[in-house]
Amino acid sequence: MDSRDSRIAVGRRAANLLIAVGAIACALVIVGTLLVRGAVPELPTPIETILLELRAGSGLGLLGAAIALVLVAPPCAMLIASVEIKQTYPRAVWLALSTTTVLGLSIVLAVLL
Amino acid sequence: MGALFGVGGGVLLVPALSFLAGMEFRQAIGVSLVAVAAMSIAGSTIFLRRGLVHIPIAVEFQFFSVLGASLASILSPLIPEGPLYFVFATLLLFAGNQMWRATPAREEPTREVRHAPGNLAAFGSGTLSGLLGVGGGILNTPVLHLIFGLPFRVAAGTSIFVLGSTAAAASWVFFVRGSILIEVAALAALGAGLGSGLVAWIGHRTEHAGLRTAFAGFLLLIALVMIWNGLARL
Repeated sequence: MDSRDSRIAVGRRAANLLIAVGAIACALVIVGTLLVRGAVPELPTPIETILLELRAGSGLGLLGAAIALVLVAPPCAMLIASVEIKQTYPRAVWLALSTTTVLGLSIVLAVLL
Repeated sequence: MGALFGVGGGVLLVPALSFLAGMEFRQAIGVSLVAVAAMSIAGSTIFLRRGLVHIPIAVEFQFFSVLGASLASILSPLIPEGPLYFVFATLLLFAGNQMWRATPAREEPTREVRHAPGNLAAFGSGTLSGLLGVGGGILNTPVLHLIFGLPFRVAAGTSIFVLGSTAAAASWVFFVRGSILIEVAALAALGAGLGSGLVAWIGHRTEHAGLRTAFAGFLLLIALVMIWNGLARL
């Protein structure tokens, strides 16, 4: 297998994940939009609001879940791709893990500040 | 439209939400970031399957752009809105200039990879994403083409792939702060994802000179409106 073929094979795995996540997110948006109604209750944090709404089976919870899926998918695709190429590019996994760590730390900082 | 003209979605979505839909500028930025992440998912699936994403360079570029986007989105509440309008207007003028000149893309690699300036540019592009809600596509593609030496089509595919993580990093900060209007963001993400997927599937962006000139004029108009709003907030 030449380098272009292997690059496409690596890409396919990441692409399959993105397609699956994108399809689920689209379905949640469509169902959620059909269900959304009324005002948003005043609750402590946006994440708690979404979890409570999701537990109540409301459209707002589904829309929040769809957005969370959309935001989780790209870093996951990057991690999958980096694990696949670690033989040819050993720094990839460390770089990908560092990126997701930075992402996680920024979320923690946003909550704290 | 953003994907069709190769400028990303945020450049159009932020002004549209801010001026047409009457949303606050920072809320428009939050919604735009979610839409850019969705655009990246839909577009990069097709580029990944065609082997048009250079993953080693994408992983390296992403680290620096996510770092910039994270820092900028955390610090953005400290920055007053007025200057943000001016920075956005400058970005629009830059994008309009690129449209106007329409430099023909070269398919062959341009030169050897220069990591240090490329990583610095990645950090700058990520910072703009976190501050303004744009994907940084108008900066990423030239950087990946001219500094990292990727062929133009691979640079465009790699740029779309990288945008997802950059936008996601900044979006999460807006998301946990409650600065994203969920209903609007979900619908914007759906529209951006479908549009970007369609353009990536068709396989090319428009090179029609008249359309590009008209679009450049449109971007100039939005830039002037941005400057006007920035002046009003000084």
